[in-house]
Amino acid sequence: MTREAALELMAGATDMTLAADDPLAALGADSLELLYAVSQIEAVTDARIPDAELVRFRTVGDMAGWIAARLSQETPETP
Amino acid sequence: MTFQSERWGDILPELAPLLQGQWEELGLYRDHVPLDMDWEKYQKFDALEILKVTTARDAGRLVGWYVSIVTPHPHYRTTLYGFLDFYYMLAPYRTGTLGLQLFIEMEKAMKLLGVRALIAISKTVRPIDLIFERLEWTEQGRTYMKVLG
Repeated sequence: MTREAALELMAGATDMTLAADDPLAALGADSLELLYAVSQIEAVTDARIPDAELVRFRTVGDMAGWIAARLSQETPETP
Repeated sequence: MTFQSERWGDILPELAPLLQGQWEELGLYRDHVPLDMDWEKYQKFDALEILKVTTARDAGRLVGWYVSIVTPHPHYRTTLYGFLDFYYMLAPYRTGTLGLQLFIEMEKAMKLLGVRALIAISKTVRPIDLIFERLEWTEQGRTYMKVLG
């Protein structure tokens, strides 16, 4: 999965228009709204973002990159 | 932003003037229960080293705090508990993951102290249940309050 594809998943999960260089805070007007958005993204992607990673993300693209990498790891290789 | 453990006595000159704002935002039944901190009691707790503070600072300025009383539970003397006294983040800093980071740092500090269980509340006036849920705390009941007239 590409970062762009992960970004689309995130946008769909949160019903927001998101750009990779948006600050992470774009996911919520305050930290609680952000956590709600993260929970929606995790539900859609079935990927639990470790808290240690979450607090390191500076942009929406950082999170999309992590999700893309995670989901790529879980995608079984085609024979 | 930095998050760290600090001594109560060290942060008090900065913290004390900010508590009025916290009380005005989150204090309950303010017409009946005025803010009147028992500074001597806190000084005693600090001297006993049972008062623990995790702080958030922006360029050195105090912007958030989580204050705990760390002591064995009277029912479970062999288990060290971290009882919430109060927490707060200044309004401009309730963005991104700053609140979450304050709690994460508090938990790390508690673990280092050997604390095994944490007790805290999410106030109805400004609930932060999502932070507790994120960090896998479990709801154990509800807190009720009544002011007797």
